Amino acid sequence: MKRIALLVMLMLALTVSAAFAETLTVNIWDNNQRAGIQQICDEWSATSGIDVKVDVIDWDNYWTLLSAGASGGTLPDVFWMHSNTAQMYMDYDLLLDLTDYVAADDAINLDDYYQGIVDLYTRDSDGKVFALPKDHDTIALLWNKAIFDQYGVEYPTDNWTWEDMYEAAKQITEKSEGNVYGMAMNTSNNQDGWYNLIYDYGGNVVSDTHDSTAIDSEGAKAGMEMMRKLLTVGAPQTVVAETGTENLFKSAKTAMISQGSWMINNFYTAENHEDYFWALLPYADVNGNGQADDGERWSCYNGLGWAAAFNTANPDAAYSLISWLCAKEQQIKQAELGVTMAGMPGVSEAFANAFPGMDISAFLAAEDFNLYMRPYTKMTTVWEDPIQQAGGFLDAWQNPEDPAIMEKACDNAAAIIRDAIAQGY
Amino acid sequence: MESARAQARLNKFIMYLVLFIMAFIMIVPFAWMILTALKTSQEAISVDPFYIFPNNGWHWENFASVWESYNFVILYKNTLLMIFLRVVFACLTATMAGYAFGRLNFPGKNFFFSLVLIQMMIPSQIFIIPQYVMASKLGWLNTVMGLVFPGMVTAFGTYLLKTGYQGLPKDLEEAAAIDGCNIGQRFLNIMMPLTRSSMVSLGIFTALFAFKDLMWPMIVCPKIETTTLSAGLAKMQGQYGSEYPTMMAAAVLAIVPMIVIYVIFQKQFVEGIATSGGKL
Amino acid sequence: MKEPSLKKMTAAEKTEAKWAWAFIAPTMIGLIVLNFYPAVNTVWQSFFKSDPFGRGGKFVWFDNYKTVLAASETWQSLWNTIKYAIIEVPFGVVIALILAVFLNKKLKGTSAFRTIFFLPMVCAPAAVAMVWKWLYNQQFGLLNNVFHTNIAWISDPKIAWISVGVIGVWSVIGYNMVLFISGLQEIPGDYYEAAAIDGATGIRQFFHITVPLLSPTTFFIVQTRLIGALTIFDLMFMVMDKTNIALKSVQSIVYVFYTYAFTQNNKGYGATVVIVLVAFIMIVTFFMQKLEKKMVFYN
Repeated sequence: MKRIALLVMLMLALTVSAAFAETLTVNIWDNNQRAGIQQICDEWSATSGIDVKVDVIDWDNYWTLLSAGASGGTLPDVFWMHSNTAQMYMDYDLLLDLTDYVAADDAINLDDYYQGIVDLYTRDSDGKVFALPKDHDTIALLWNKAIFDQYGVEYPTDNWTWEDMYEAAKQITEKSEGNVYGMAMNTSNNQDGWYNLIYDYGGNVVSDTHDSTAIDSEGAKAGMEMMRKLLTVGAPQTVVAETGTENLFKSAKTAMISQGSWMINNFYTAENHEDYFWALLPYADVNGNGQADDGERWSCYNGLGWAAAFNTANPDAAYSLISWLCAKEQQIKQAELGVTMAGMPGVSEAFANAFPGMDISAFLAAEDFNLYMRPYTKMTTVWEDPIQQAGGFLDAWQNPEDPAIMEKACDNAAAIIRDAIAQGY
Repeated sequence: MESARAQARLNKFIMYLVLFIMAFIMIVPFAWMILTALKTSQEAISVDPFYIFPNNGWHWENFASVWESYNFVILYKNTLLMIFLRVVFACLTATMAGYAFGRLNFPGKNFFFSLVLIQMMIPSQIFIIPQYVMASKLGWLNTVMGLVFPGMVTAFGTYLLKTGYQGLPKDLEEAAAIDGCNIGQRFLNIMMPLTRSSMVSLGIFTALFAFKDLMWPMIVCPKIETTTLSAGLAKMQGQYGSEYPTMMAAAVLAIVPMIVIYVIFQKQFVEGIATSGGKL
Repeated sequence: MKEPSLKKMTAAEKTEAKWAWAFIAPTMIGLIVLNFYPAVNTVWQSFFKSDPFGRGGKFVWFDNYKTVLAASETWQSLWNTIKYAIIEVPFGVVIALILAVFLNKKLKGTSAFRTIFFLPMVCAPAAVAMVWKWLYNQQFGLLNNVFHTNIAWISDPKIAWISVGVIGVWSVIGYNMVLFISGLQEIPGDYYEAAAIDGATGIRQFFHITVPLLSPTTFFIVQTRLIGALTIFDLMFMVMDKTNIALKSVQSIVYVFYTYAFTQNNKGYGATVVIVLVAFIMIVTFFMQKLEKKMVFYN
């Protein structure tokens, strides 16, 4: 019995290792990008002779599976890293150290990429590099022209302040007698939503050094107060939580939502997409001079990284694939295919042309203003989830009429973030 | 006499009324599932006017597109394979152990049987973390083996089969023993065939339990190509929850096979549940 | 039958014992490897603080227990689970009993009704929860649009737990009903005939014959459903979104366990939550056993 079991295990191990010798497994979480990524990987296979298998695992399970791999299971060879937990993976040496590879690689020059993304994947303590920037994203305002026409409200412009957005949303909500909501935003629309108000008004969620927060500062509270006003003329949280902002938008139940560039394809392929238009995110006219000055308009950006497992059977091939995916030519290709915007500045034009018939230049225009890296700490999820749930901002979203609740939520959020940072997350 | 008959008629009317109302409540979610699956997504989220029935054609092609884009063939295959293996293993191990506990006498019998009873009392959630760690260490994440292994033996089935064997008359086996059959032959040729109905109950119970389980396939097989229908649905909802016709079509596809099997083998299902009465 | 002792066995008894051990070996090994070892291991893990990747980590004695028992989330979710059980078990049992009694009369179409009532039992709860979530949708759902209401069925903390409980009742009626029908068929018909001669009406018969004679079945159903309800997970997981304000007042204790053990990868904390759950269920089982002796009428 025991011998048979041993034999079975041996055969299993053999098939597994055989499978690994000739293919690299790649894990990603976004199904929309699968085809494009697979195509670029296949082109690498053609030159290297090593097959690449791209697997998609949904967001929640992606991280569970990775950490299972970290604690004794098998990790995929090459996979995406995200600002949520990248630093923690690096601290625990679970990613392949790419420093020497990069130094010896002519195709990759770290200065070509967005600095914030490079920093994210560089370990503070010793300057080692663990992932290369895959892409970056920005945020814009999505609005439905048909609704604005129906209620005779002036279209959003690229010079809108958050107050202007409030007025427009208010008109739509009132004129439609509540049939259509002027705007909608979920507490989970942070990076692609309310974080931006905090920065516009001079606050921050996590400082540039990732060791403190100003989410309870006066600026941040002013930003969230503006957010609260918007919510009073927007879709109620119960509706938003059940239906999702993108669905409210697609069903013409809401006139405006803010969205990240990774969602463009979702709206580009929707039934009524000819009514959909993108505008710059509004800004906060803090000094009251009627124009967006430096520091008054921020867009969050975030970038994924291509990383390899510390224990991959074939580190050279894994790096070769990463280098291929992040080199300029493939970055442009990735943009052309409409997968995402590149991890390096200056090649985003190709992305704009990937959606004929829809003007997405707002996402590129956002880059002319202030960009801030998506707020992260070593393990962002530890505080990011709680601040958008009950006990955090969800309380304020639920009762937008009461400014005191929003102010309290800012204080609560600050306490949650500080507590997480203090615990080493 | 007249009033008694009127009373009886009234009783009958009330009973039918209650039954019809309940039947209606039971049917509505299924009907809504199918009706939504046949609409366009725009229709599904139109409120004014609110459509009960699809109003611009019945979009049967929704099923085809869901079938393809979510690779239902693979989900069906995984689910069937898991159910098949679990049923085979559970029935095999349970009938053997059930026979030993029900018909044979041996040292340690009470102790071992008490282990069976204890397992039945412990909520299964306590096993999950270590089982997951085992699966991960053995490389069974995202494999059928991972789906199957926690259900390979069954304390409940052993108990059920033991009761089945105990209920059989003694003389059958004694006659065979006199004819010189050893215990293995007696078990295989005489006793096991007689517990067919218990085995069917256990089989149905195991199959239903495996089909309905959500948490285990979700954690052990997170890749959508390796998971079961239940967990696959949960994943689809997480990713595309707002495409209502798509979601409802997927839900219909996920439940139809079991419903068909149930309608065909209704008698066995009902008897199986009634006799096993397990903790589904 | 008394067990033979190892020393004084006859040859025949020895052969029998060898066969028996061989027969129970797969099951016993399986139970030990797949159930008993994991149970002990879970207890063991509950004394460790996992690192961020769910690995063993540091032995911390009762720290996890202190945190779990001090967390309002634990008690709230335990209370949510009890609230769910308070809806599912009584309503599921009473409605099923009434239906079973009706279907046990010689009415036309009983088999069709039985088929319909039993349907939810053969459906994956994931699918069931999905369609109910859609029915309950505040904006586009069937319920609000047909009744012209604007109720946040699953997002209002005051009613969301009831809405989820209703799904549970709907799902479980058929199962309970089938068990009741088979229990009813075991009650000898002459009880009713005798009662009818004495002039007892249907309702009197129900309370004086059916209910007491059915009490073993009822007790069995209540007990299994209670355990089932206290370990509920699927419905909450499928119906409640993470940004739903009602989540905290609906999520069950197993849901909390799942979140910690498998979403946040905090295995030590998750293990502790599960031990709390098991302890709770043991207490409930103990009281149910006491109750059985008092309430159940065995023939």
